[in-house]
Amino acid sequence: MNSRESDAFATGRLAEALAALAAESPRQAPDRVEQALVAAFRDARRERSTPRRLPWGAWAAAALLVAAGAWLSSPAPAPPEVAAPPPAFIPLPGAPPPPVGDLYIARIRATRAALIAAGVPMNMERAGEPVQADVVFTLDGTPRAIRILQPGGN
Amino acid sequence: MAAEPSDDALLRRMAAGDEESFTTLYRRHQAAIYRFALHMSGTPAIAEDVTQEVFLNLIRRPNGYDGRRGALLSYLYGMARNLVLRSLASRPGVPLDTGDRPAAGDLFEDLTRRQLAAAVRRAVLRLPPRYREVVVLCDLEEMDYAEAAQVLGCAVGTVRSRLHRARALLAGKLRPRQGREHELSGV
Repeated sequence: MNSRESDAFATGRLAEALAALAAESPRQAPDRVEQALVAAFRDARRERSTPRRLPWGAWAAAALLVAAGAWLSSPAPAPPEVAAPPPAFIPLPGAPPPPVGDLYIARIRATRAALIAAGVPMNMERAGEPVQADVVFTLDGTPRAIRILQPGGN
Repeated sequence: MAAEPSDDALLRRMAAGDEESFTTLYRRHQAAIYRFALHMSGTPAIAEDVTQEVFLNLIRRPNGYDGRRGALLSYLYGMARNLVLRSLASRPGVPLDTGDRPAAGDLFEDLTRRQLAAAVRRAVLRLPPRYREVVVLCDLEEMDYAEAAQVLGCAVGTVRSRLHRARALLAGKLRPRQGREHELSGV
């Protein structure tokens, strides 16, 4: 067999060999793959349909950070004219008592709605109005307490 | 007789949480994906993992598929290809042919169909991945050049030239020893 004949032979038989391999190939993946995927699908559907419940601190931190962002992006407010001593801090609902030390205070301006979302009892009828407040955070960013500076904040 | 729902319709329903649509989609395409991964890797366990991961990705991100960019099966093949190549890269010890070539003589005449399939399977697994994938897609899965090009993300001409080269390499591997003076090298 010369080289050309040999090539033709090999190439012609190659098609046959590939057809044999294709015919011998498995028809499908094992059943356990489908079973695992259906279970995964159900898990994913359950996760999507169940609203995620974030811990209280996360909601509060998010609301207050949004509020703080709004305050930082707005013109710097004039220093509050507070004739009387500022009100005491109110522990935020659900927050454990703040530890001694390792705290910091941020002054924010937020809508009452944002503070209500964070769990601060406020007058719902004036939800769109801004208020100024001091918020006590622990170093991990968890808000612990708040005091409303604006008169009539409640 | 009602027409089969399209992949797009099934995918939309699946994304809305319809399990039956997911299983229909899975059963429609799993065999092609599994065979592709098996022919590419030569390892049933890898093929199984790849098949599972491809459809898990579809569950997690049903909106990752854009119907304007091609058929769903091409998208699934593309995912499977990436997973297989990653697996091959991390496992250089993928079962390859150890070099046991058929003896001289009437090679093909002496082989049963099963032996023939086994021989070509070994030969396919010894191809470099870029040649192996075109053989798997075009010769084993009977995909046309355009579809294969879409899966591989290359030009149709590239598929054609790679397939030509791959078949030559395969033919060389399957040629009896006495005819190896022109055997193509580089594999």
